[in-house]
Amino acid sequence: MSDFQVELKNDYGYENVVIIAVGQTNISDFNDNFCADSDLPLVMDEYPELLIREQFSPYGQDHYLVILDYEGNYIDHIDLLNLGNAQKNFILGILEENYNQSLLGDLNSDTILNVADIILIIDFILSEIYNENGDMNFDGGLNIQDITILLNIILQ
Amino acid sequence: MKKILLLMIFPAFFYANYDYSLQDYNNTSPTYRENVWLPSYSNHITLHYFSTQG
Repeated sequence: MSDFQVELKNDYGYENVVIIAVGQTNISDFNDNFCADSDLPLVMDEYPELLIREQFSPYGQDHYLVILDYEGNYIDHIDLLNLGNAQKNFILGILEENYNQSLLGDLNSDTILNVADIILIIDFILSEIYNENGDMNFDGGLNIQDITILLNIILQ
Repeated sequence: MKKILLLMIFPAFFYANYDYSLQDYNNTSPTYRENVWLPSYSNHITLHYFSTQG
């Protein structure tokens, strides 16, 4: 799965696509296996409530891959027991249809630069989270300079 | 009656999308210990893979 993430980024240019593994707190096998040589994020669904699975129901099943858009809306799902060419092509088709080339500074991906993006960039700075789409001066960090540049663009 | 119906329907649309914000437990991930999928991947198309085995 990690290889596929790299493939999406390097071969197809899908920078803003991420595969997130959803494990369970009561099962360690998946976590160990998934994390081995993988750079994909892993979250733990708290057992026995399994609230994430409940939220994604009926799609939050074993080996299911659920694809959501930028706003968290359901696009489609696939049973990924194996990740072969057919499954990859299915996912690539969905991405081709739904992926937007990101606009620098457009942190909420609504294709408009406005005060909402300023609020988000401030949130990222306060949370000490790096977001490349908010890195207006490409210095590898988010700070007041990025806010100033974004503000200037909005005011122009 | 129509107003009551609208008040009942509107929140259902408002909360139709999914979201969660949980710590990333993969220590080889670039977002290790950050909260994902929100806010770290808020401007991403997200693919959520559910499994209990490797």
